[in-house]
Amino acid sequence: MSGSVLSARKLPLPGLSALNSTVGRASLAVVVLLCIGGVAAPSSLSSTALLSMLPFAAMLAIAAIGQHIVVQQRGLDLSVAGVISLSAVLVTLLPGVEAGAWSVALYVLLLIAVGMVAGIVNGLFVTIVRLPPLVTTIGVNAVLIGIALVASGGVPSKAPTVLSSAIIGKTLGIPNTLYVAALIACASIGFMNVSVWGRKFVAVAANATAAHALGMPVTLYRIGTYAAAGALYAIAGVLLAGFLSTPGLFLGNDYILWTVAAVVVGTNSIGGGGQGSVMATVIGAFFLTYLSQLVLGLGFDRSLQQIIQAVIIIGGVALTGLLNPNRA
Amino acid sequence: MNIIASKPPMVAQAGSVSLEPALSLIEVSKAYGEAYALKHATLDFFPGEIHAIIGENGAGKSTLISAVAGVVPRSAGEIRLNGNPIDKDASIDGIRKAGVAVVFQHPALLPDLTVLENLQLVSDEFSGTAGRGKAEKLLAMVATDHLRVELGQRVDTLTLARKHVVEIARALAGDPKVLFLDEPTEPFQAQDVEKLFSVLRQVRSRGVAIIYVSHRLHEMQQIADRISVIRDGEIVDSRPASAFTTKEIVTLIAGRPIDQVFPPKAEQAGATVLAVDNLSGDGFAGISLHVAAGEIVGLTGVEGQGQREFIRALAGLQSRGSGTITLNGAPYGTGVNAARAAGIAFVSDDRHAEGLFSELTIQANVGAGLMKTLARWGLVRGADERDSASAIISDMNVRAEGTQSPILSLSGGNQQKVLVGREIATRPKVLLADEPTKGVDIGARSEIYRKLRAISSDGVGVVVAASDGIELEGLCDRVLVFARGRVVRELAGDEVTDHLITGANLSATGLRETKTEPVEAPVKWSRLLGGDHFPIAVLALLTAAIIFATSRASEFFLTELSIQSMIIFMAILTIVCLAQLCVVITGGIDLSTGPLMGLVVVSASYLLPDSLEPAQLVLWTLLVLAGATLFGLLQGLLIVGLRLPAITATLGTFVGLQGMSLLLRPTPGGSIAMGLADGFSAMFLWVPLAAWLAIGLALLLELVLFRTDFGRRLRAVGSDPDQCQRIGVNAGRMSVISFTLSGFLSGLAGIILAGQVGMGTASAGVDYTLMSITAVVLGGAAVTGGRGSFLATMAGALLIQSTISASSFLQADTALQYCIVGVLTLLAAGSFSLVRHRKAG
Repeated sequence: MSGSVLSARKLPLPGLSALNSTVGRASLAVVVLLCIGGVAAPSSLSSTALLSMLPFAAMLAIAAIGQHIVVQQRGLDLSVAGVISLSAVLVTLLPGVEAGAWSVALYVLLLIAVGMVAGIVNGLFVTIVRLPPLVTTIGVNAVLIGIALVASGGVPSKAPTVLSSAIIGKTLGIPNTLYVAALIACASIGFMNVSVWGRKFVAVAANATAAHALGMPVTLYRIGTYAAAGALYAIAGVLLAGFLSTPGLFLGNDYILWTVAAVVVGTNSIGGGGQGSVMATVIGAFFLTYLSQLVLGLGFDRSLQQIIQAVIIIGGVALTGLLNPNRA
Repeated sequence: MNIIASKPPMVAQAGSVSLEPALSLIEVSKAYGEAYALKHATLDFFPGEIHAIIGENGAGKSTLISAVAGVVPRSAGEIRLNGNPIDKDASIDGIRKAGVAVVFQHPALLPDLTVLENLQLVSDEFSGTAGRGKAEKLLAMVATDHLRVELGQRVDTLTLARKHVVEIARALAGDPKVLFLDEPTEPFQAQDVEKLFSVLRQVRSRGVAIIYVSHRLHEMQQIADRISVIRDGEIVDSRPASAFTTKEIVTLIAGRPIDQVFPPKAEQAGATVLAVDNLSGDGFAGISLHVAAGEIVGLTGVEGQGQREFIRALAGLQSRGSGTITLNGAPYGTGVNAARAAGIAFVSDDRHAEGLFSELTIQANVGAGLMKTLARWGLVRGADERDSASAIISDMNVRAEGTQSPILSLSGGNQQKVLVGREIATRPKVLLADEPTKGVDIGARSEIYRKLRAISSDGVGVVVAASDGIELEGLCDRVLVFARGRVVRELAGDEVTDHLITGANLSATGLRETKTEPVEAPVKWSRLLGGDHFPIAVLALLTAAIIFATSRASEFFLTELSIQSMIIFMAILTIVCLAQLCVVITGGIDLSTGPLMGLVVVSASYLLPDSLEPAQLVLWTLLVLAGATLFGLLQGLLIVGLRLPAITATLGTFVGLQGMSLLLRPTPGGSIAMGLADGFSAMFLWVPLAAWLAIGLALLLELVLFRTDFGRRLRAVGSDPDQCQRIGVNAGRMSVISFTLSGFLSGLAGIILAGQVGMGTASAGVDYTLMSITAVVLGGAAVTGGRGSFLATMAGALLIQSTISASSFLQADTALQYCIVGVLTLLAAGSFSLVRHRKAG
């Protein structure tokens, strides 16, 4: 209809420029939450509390970046749970507790490859078979969890000592996991902004048909996106396994909602498209982690935490819809 | 719905032109921000008159229709129907029922429904056997024999011309008083146009006010009693058809004398740049075309004659078969990349779908097309990218704040200038432009024409596909007329006139008058495979095989007790799967079904304790069920009201409900009334009550889905919510109802489950979400909505439950169950998807 052709869209809330960018909105949400936390439970802002929270935030951020890129390509990836669980299980099983650093490193690379393969399977089903992402990733997720259960025999085991100490360790007073997350975040932000591949990734996300008309291999980019996401989940899974030392078998299940919530709190629209901001998703991951610690710190238990997450995700999606002028 | 004020309606005198207008527009405007799509339009439409509205693409014709039909709310002005004002926010449905019907340019039909169902959606006169006959008569009246349409055909299997036939029939249903037609002849051949005109004359004689919107001048002059010209959103003139000369209309449409719009033509052509010889492909055959430097060649034809496919094949966007293409003597391979690398640039006819990256800036839009020249070591040189964008802005005279402005902040004409500029910036040897001035204002058009002429004189070959005769006449040195995938006429030099182009179109298509369009009868077995009920047979066979194999392996499997328990769990799963399908059929998804069952189990452990009297038990059970239904209703209202994506919203409630259950029952406890278990497992005709309930519900829902208006609407919403909006089916309401149904059915499944579990366990229902989606997919439902069968879904549920029951007898652990369900989902959904896409493709 000629209507949309003519409409010169104005950005909403002209006076509050911070609210016009996704990063601005996400940062504002974190600041507000920190203020609330500071008043309600001052101890939650102590350096000990923050340092114990940061590794979890970092690991969530890594998985959330994976979810973010899939969502930006107008998909959704529920197999995040399966990949995290499987890689965590395998890293505790394969190298053995006493394994040396090199052998562990090799296995970690192998597990990242496993994550990528799972992602490629997702990508093939979504692109070639043209299944909706939800159905595909639900199916792949179930298979991955099944494999994790079969492999572990239903019993959790202990991660290699080398791995655990490296992951729990700190460098210059800052948890090592944070370095990994920062590296991945910076790499992906740089990738999307200045590299040819990254710019094509953004173009394919914004309008796949137009990208195809310009000769961009749309299918390859979509599959690549799921593969990269799978690799990121695997990294998160390995880090979690090392950090927790004896990870539970259903470790990944929470991360379906957590990663989607981080993307949503980053006020990236769930329909995807060209405008997503990885930075906002990373901030969203920190927001969620701090929030859940705050909720626990205030003496509420896991059940209430889940209810709050539900409210956040629904509220976040609703808010994104209201703030984002480009959503149809 | 009362959209008309209380004044009694005028009785129109059939057959004669009454002095009272049937429809009046008074100063009607539609603005999007600063820009007007329709500006102070004032027009009267009289009964028994065919009133043509003519204007270029994007002049505001479609906006006028949308504003009257209530598809978009008008910004200002008054619309009167038979003298009674229509409310600004009157519903589409209300306006239609008051007698305003629209034949949309893009047919407002639901692809997954049959022709008959599409008609039934808009009018109840087509139900029953008598209605069937009525529908057949209506279609026969509208269509010539070679465009015959079967009532039982699904609309997505029809050709564009046949869809238009159904669209016209749909609009005529219910005897409208005012009939709008928006470019109704676009895909029609000469004899179909004639047929339509005779229908319109007949309708006119019944006293209907007909508004005929088109950009085809010759057709309007043939049919119209009165002609109004619209330009840039304004009605610029309105007179009886006979009071216009052709030249006057043409000048009025363009807004200035034609020779001022178009640049002068080429003096002489240079060397051949593009040589196409005997090229065939999907939709065209045996096309030869030589384009010389300095020459602009036009391709035209009635819509769907292969000209579009041909130009897209040259651009590498569509497959091509035999024949050769050479660019400066060198051939290039298939595919977009080969074409672009060889020096072909392409401007798509659909700016929004295939041209713009609408969320990105001007610079990013430009950069996306110039990646090859802007890249060094895999990185984009930002400064060069900015320079290219600024160069295009100044070169094409784009009105924009800067290179970082969002592309959507530009007007349509300026957006198009950016796209044309980007393609020119690739320094092509040949520029292909498909409808390069669609939806572009006259100033921008003129600029685009000049630019095309300028690069042509610089030695670039230019090929333009266009449907507008005036544009072709003004711009092109040569024009090739397509019909049925072949070039039937070539016009050059003085012959390139609107008049001759139109004539060539008509005579060319007229030649083939006797040929009928092929009736696309899908191969029978593939129709069967794609059918809604085909999965039932396969699933039932698989279920039987699993049960048989397990009974051979374990003697305990077929004992009475284990069979009974398996049947009850089958019933539970079936009911929750029915719940899931209710939502999926409307194009949504409900992840909360499982946790809702869990919460019902937990609630039952408090509200339905063992101590209850039977009567109390029934009462409280009903209350719990009402609670679950209420939850479904609220969830639906939330999703529709706040326009949340169903996936994320129900992912939220998926976790939220689990939290609630955990909050109520941190550890399992509380015993649930035995009466619940006994009641549902009570045998009735050798089968537990729960099973009868599940079967009954599945049959009932199936009947509702395929035999009632409500069911049609459910499928319509899933099939295409946008079209639903245009024909007045309230998609939001249907969505809310589907979530409510889902809440009710999940609640029922939860109650039966509670009886089986026996005590409050927070995690009881969670796994059912995955299983319900799997069963729906196994049953062959389209996860994107519109198609599905409750009976097939039940068959899917039976297969899943028998697999699970069997695996526990075969001592396989839960791990394998996960794998089996996952693999089943992927295989089933994958094969259905492949079968359907093969059929569609």
